[in-house]
Amino acid sequence: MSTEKNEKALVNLVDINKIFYTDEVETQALNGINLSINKGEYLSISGPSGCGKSTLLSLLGLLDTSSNGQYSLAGHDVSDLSRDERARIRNKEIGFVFQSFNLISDLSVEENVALPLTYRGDLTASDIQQRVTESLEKVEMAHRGSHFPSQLSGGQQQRVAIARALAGTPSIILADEPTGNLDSKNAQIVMNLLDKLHQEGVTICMVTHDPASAARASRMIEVFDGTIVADKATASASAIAV
Amino acid sequence: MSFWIDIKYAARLLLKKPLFALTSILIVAVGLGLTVYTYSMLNSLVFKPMTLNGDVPIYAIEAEYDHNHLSRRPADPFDLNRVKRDIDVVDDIGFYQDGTALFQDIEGKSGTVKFNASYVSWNVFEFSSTPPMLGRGFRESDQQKGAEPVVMLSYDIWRDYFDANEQVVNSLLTVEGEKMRVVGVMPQGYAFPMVAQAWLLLPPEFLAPVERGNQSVFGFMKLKSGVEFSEFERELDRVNPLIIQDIPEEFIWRLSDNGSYLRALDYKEASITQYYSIFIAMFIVVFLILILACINIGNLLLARVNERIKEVAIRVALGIPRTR
Ligand SMILES: Nc1ncnc2c1ncn2[C@@H]1O[C@H](COP(=O)(O)OP(=O)(O)O)[C@@H](O)[C@H]1O
Ligand SMILES: [Mg+2]
Repeated sequence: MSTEKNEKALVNLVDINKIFYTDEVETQALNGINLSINKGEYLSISGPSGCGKSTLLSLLGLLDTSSNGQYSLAGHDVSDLSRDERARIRNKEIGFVFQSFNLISDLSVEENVALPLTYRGDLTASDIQQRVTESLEKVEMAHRGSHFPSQLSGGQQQRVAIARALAGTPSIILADEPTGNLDSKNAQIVMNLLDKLHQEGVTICMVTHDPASAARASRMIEVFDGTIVADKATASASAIAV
Repeated sequence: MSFWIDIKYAARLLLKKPLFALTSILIVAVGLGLTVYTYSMLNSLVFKPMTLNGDVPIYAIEAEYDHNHLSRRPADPFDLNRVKRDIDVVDDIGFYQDGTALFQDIEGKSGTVKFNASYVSWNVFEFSSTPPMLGRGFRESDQQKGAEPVVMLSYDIWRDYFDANEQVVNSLLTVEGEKMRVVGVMPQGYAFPMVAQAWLLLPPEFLAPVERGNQSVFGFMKLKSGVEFSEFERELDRVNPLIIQDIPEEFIWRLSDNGSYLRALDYKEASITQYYSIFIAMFIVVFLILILACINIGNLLLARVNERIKEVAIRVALGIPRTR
């Protein structure tokens, strides 16, 4: 566990605290988190329920801001950005994959994948179409482009969600229990897909409480009570490094 | 593309719950329609100044409104003539009185019929720039002493009592016990200076009385072209005290409780003064209906929003800019 500032890291968190205040009750969800993630790493975060995994992920994804501490993403300090700037960076640099897929039910598969791209304003319609097709091909869902989420299985929906996260070519993919709602067969497919993306160089940060899934990452972090208690390379890391 | 995704999304939402969409649209449409209808009615009835056919606004000039009895009060034509004489910006003033007229032996049938009649100065139809449908309008000579008495019929009695017979023009009728020549028939719906079934001329002494008396009339007035009403109001404020000064003890009843006398205002406003509060109340009620409709829609939408909150969260995570 290194606490010194790593300038070359893609993600660099220094002394991050997050305190929630609800009805005069203080919850210290994160307590002195120091973490850097390098480009191309496949990181898993595990720990018991309520230890702060999702909170950490939403700070990484700029969905929320820390109570104090410093966060730099791709060399830029993003600790004190306005809501609009955070939205812009979130759209360009971060791809989310959620436990419950979170596709918009009234948009088709293609439209769901296109949605974050349409928020950018600097892409032409044909750019968007091309990216949508490419990322759907990556997750092998191109043939279902005009279907609606309700017509797909859970595993297929999660693959579409991953395609949506990939479409914007983000710096990092943040996945919160991506297999939590899937049966083991579909979970396997999604985990294999993440492995494949990792091999293609995508940086992934995945929250999971399944030890087997955690072990497939190149680096495992364990969180307990808002603190990182373990940070180690896994066997699969060396396997890939070879 | 982004535009199309939003449109398609909205359309799908509407189609998914067509009954909901229909109900919402209907409620808003009814509320909005009612408000717009009432507003446009009030607008033409209350808020817009009256100009009739010409583009020149017509004003009412009369004694101060009687707030105790909620009624308009006429003034002495002697004083109205003084306004016309002393205030340069006045183009012309006309007089009228509300009344009735007894018509005898109409169309050979014996008996008497009583009609609502406006007693007017001869220039009334020129004021409203409305020529009669048949025959001619009143002339200045009609109102002179010794002239043959004349009457103007409304479209309604011409149709209902004279079988729409054009021969009635120029014929003689017995009105108020006097033989009167029918000079014409006004077009349907004509209602200036007020709704009437027939128009008769005021006696000449009303037009140019040589001294104050008990005769009372309402006035309608035009200003010279290009003159602002406020300009006239300033002049009236100057002339009013002079007139009041001249009023002898015996005509002190012309003044209102607070000692004021003449007032001028938009003609239409004057004619609805008594009903003004009713209009306003009506508008408020209709506006409340609109608010009610909106609250209902708000409630309906709130139920839908709860379904949509998750989607908003997803869009936020995808980095939706605040403008969308
Ligand atoms: N928005 C919030 N408001 C208040 N407390 C919260 C909020 N989000 C999380 N917490 C609290 O922070 C702690 C960490 O939550 P979380 O990060 O969701 O844990 P998990 O590791 O299960 O994902 C929990 O005690 C939780 O109750
Ligand atoms: Mg969680």
